[in-house]
Amino acid sequence: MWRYVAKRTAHAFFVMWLVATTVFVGLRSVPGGPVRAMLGQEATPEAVASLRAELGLNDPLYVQYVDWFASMLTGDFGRSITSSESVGQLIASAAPRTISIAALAVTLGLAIAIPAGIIGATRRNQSADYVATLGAFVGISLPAFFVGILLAIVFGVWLGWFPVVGYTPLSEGVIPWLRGIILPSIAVGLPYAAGVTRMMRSSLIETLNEQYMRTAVAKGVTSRTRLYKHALQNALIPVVTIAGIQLALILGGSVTVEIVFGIQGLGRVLVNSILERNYPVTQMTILLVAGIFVFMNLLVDIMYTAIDPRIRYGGEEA
Amino acid sequence: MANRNTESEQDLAGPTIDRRTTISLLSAAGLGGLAGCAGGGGGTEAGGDEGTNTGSDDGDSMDSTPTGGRLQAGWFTGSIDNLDPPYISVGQYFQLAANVFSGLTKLGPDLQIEGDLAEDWSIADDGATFTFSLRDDVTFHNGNSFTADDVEYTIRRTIEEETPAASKLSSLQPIDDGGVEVGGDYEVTIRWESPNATSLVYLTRGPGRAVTIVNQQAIEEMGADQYNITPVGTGPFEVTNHNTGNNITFDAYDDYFETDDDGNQLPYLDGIDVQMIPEPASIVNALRSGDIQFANLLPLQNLDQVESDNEASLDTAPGINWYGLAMNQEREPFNSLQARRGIAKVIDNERFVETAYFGNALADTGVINRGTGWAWRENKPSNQDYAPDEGQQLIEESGAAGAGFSILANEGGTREAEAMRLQLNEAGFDVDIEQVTSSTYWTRYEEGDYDVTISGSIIDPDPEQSLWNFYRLPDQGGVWNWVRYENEEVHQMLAEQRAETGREARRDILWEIEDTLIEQVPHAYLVHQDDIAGVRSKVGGFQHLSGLRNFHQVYLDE
Repeated sequence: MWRYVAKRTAHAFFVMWLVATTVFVGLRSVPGGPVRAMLGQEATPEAVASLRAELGLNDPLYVQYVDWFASMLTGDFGRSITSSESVGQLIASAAPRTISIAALAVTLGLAIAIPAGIIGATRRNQSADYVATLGAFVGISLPAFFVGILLAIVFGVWLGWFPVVGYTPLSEGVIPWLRGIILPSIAVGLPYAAGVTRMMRSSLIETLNEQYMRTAVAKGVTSRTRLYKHALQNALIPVVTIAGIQLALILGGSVTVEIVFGIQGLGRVLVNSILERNYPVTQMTILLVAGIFVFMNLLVDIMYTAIDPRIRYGGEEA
Repeated sequence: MANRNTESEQDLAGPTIDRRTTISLLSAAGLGGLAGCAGGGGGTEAGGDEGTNTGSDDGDSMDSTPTGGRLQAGWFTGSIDNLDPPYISVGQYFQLAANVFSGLTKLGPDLQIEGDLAEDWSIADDGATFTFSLRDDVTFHNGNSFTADDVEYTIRRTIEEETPAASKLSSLQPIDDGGVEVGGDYEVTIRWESPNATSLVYLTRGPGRAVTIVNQQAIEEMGADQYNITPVGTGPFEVTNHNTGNNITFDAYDDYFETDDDGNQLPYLDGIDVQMIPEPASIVNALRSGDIQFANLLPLQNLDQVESDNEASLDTAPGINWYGLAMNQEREPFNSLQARRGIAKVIDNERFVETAYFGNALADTGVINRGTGWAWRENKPSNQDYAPDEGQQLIEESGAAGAGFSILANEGGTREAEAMRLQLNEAGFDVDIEQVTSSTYWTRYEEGDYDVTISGSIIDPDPEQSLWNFYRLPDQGGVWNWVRYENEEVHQMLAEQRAETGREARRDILWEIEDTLIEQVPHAYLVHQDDIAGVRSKVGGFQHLSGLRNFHQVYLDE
């Protein structure tokens, strides 16, 4: 067991190193650099050359790589090339915004998807099912940024209920915080809800057709107990898996939604930094996002083996 | 010449330059559009037909000018990375920094040049030496007193750190050899290598920014990196919070030295909350919903939404810029003059303005914009006038017919590139668009790794400055000569006009240069773009000078 955990952990760190190296090399292989864009057309070629040297961009790639990697290992993530801010600070201020939006989006998404999926499955081919299925199709088809703009026009411009730009930190009150993230969260949460609704519906239909459900009917178990005690528990297993995987959808959607609602979250930080060739910020933001995925997978793998010893990985004994 | 110079010295002396001279100066500095904007060029009062002045801030209403309140403003950008004046290379950043800092001079509401930190000044050496008497009642936001040493420190730092603004001081004498001479706490002399009447415009906090005063102690205490984000100046607002990609909080500086005509303390506002909004639809929605009361720029494709709104409106000033189709002369077919002329003639600039700018620009076939009052002329040479048949003939004769090439564009220039591609393809070319990020764009443009691109000068502080940078030989001052245009005659004329202190003589040389450029087509000249902001009806007192966004006299009704 411990040997397996150690091996999986080492594997996770290897993946992280691979991501870091790929990002480092990839960013520098694209034509263009940060200096001319940063100094603008007005700067003389001498000033451009001087800043390139100051930033170490004239050093051989392997020297830049070793410097960066060594600094990172000591907890020094560098400074933004464009604003000189500490990268750690920049990411620390952006992360709560993305996490707030993602958390509310998942909560709203599941609050819509689970009941909608159950209704669709239990009232198959009835009007309620058609509404749920149509809603899911529409939700999947509409990109988050488009939903965001529509929501901003209706609930911000026309009705004036919610702000259409900006973010208020939780420290300034729950209500202002919620008002600021409700529209972006709905925009990201709707496509998420749509995917989970479809899975919930199909999984529950499949489960309701299982032999043991017929047995339950024969034994005279009430329909409510059959649904919530027997069917739902089993049907939720693939739903939970999909709900987890689709968290990536939330993070992907947040990139565009953060731009639409003028919120400086991780997505917007990443997009801006890529456009500006702001190497230190891009590298650390991608590493952070990749790290979240890699270590969540690691955690799940380890939990699987702990919960179910039948699960084997790569011939390794648990 | 002597008489003219003597008169010129008298005209340029402080503390306030009269309106007529100011207009001449602004014109000489390429800012005549501002003068025309305010007075229609005819000596009328500010707020003429083209100039805009939001709300009523005339003398009668000053007594009742509401004070207090916080302006909610939106900035059409993803981030404000830099507020340290000499390092700023983005116009949108400087629009904000100009509210934090002061220059030695400034443009007043009637667009006359006034003392800002300079109370008075005198001119000597035919306009090559300026001695400024400085205000003695000015403090920085950190409480430091402002003195002449701060002027010297600012200039020294700008030059020695090779900041982007250093190029504007390139003709200053060496600092330690008389270029800057401190004559006491409140007197400083600045010496240029040759007469430089337009330097008073360059010394304004905006749009000049050659000597925008920074605070040495703050830079040393907080470090240059932090100063970049939360700088300390002597301006009407101080930066109290700055999240580079999200928002900036400006609070009124209580000890700001300036008052209005009635002696009321400026600024009127308690502060400004600036939100960065990079998405076009979002900044318009925010303005319409009232989340913001001021938008520094508006996306052209959404202007009609603002125009149709009862509570919001457009605030337009004519742009002091130019854009053209840059053709890389190191590549075929653009190394052929005949081909370039043909291309210029098949481009319909009026149609380009409609499709690329929704009509919000002035079509022109030259480089000098209309705002440059004294240097502007309607009857430019016809070499680049729209004449499709003649253009086609030139293209065919040059062998460029049907040539395939690409337009290099960054993310902000896609619409213009599309509009251009449409016209060029209709003319029989096989044109693609290469859309790249800004970082890639600038690198490839500078290195000559492109066929054509739409480029130009965003704010021309002087026609000669953009002409100099674009069309001098690349290794002799032509730092933006990325079309690789090499013409010894133009190169020499640029040097001549710089040495010429007589305005009309200088104008004649500039026209000759423009004539040559129109004829030789290093760029197919296209437009001068309008400068458009968005304002809610409760915002008053905003004086719209093209390219600038100064809030020290802005107030909120109610």
